[in-house]
Amino acid sequence: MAEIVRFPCGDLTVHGTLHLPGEQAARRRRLGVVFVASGVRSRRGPNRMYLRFARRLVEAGYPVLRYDPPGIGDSPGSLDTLLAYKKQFLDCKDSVIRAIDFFQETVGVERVALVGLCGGAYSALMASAAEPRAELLVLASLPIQDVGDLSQEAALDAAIESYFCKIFDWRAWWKFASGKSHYDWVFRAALRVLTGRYRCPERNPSLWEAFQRYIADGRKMLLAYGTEDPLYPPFAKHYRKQLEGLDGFHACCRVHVVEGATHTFNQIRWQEELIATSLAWLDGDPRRGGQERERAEARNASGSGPQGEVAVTPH
Amino acid sequence: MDHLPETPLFIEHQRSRMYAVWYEPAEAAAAPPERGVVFCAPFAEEAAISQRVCVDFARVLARRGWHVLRFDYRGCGESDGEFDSVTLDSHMCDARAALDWFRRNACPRVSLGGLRLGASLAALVAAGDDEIESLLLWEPVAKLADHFRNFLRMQVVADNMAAGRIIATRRELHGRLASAGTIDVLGYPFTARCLRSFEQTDFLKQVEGVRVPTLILAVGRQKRSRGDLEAVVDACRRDSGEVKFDYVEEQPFWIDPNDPWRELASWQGHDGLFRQSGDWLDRVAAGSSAATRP
Repeated sequence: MAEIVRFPCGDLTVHGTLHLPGEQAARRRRLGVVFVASGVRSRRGPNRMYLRFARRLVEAGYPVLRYDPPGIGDSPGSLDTLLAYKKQFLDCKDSVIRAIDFFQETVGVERVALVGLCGGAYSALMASAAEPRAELLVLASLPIQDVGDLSQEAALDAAIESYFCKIFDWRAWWKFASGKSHYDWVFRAALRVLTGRYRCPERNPSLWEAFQRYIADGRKMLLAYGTEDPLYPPFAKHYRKQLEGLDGFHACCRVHVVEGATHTFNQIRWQEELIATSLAWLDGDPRRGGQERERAEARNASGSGPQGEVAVTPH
Repeated sequence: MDHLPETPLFIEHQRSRMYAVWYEPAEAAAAPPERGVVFCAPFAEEAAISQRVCVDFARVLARRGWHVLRFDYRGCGESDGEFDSVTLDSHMCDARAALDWFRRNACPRVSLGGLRLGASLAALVAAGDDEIESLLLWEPVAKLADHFRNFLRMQVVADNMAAGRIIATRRELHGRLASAGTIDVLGYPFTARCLRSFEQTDFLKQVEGVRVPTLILAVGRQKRSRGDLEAVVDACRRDSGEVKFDYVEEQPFWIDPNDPWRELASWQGHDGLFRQSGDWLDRVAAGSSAATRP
């Protein structure tokens, strides 16, 4: 059953939807799931994905909270300027923490999993570093590059990095030759490289710190990317190796790659794969499994499949 | 900025629940007789992309003294149901249910508004309801079946952009829709039944029954000839409707720019659209109040 809720967030009262499983299914009430809004889209997510995801979680017995942060969706507040958006995006942890407070007070969950796509994944990770109640993370299309001031230039540099990663990929050249590329971006990217203004984006230091702090606590994370997401080539080429070098990565993190999926997973079959993988991973909540499961995860993580996919073992 | 009362709620309708938000005017602005607008959202993902501008417009109208209801059709947004059960008829039925609820609970004098397919639905509902006060149509869709097919075209373009190749042509998507009954279009299960409902509705013929003051607004960066909207104007005028057609030179805000920064930018700069719409609604309401005054 979905209920409309509102809760305070700073000076404002934001809008949300609470999904509660039926009494029979409420076996996992100690763990609840909070969805963190993705970029500028409301709590339903792009292509209504968050809603689809939430309904499946509720069927599996998890209470779920989705909410619109200030200035997004139905919530009050205003993002009149890019500056206001940047501020909210970069200082996002407050609204996530307020959401967890409300969720705990209302439903009585003891622990929380955060789910986010793109900007929502970024916000979820940043908030969880400061919020020990967030014990599990499902992060889809997480931007690891330094988006810095969220400027067009930073976005362009990220795009150029993605182009460099695909420079030997015939499919990328075919796409370019057959008139299907984003030519305005390609042109601006070429101009930026030729005029020496391109700066290879570093990984985001704040995000990296949050990553390390989260893993150091032994908390668990599922990272998911689509192969057609522009964020995936730099992840596969650089960041994944760097992440795997972190202590505890194999015990704490799983990576799942959805073949053919785009940044927003805008086909139902890709969403279904992401949802099924996440559900299986959440059902095998690693906190309850003990060392045997930890070892199995480490084995899975090291034995990656063709796209770096990690087998998900339902528990 | 002042915060006016906003009530999110579910409207019970045919054993399902439709999500809606009721925006109430500030007490001082809500001088009787109370006036209201029910605003109909566009189709599929266009509703999600344009949501924030519609929310902002509802708030602008509430500050001007109007009650406003925004709602999600069943199978869309926060409402119950799945998109594969959506048809044009179900959308119209939902718009009527929202209108009935609003008349019963907020104010009896209601205007209808909408964007894109929502505007077309508003006109279709108004054609069969003589008690509608006025109609505010932002970019109404004249050819409904073409509108549906355009989403298939968007899927083809999205495939091209993502994979660099044609995964299925529009014709192939049509073939699949006919044979399988349902296809995935940008994350929405589009059905053959839904397409049939669009094809079977002769929109221009049906809106000839509209007899209420109507404002049709074209929204675009530049003025250009809009034969599609002129056809709607002609159809609405055919039965002595009082129809005004105008251009608003602003950025369209229902098209997915595939870029959050551009999407955020598309939310801004709609003062002209809001002002023109609000002024016209006020004028029509003032005129009808004067006409009904004893």
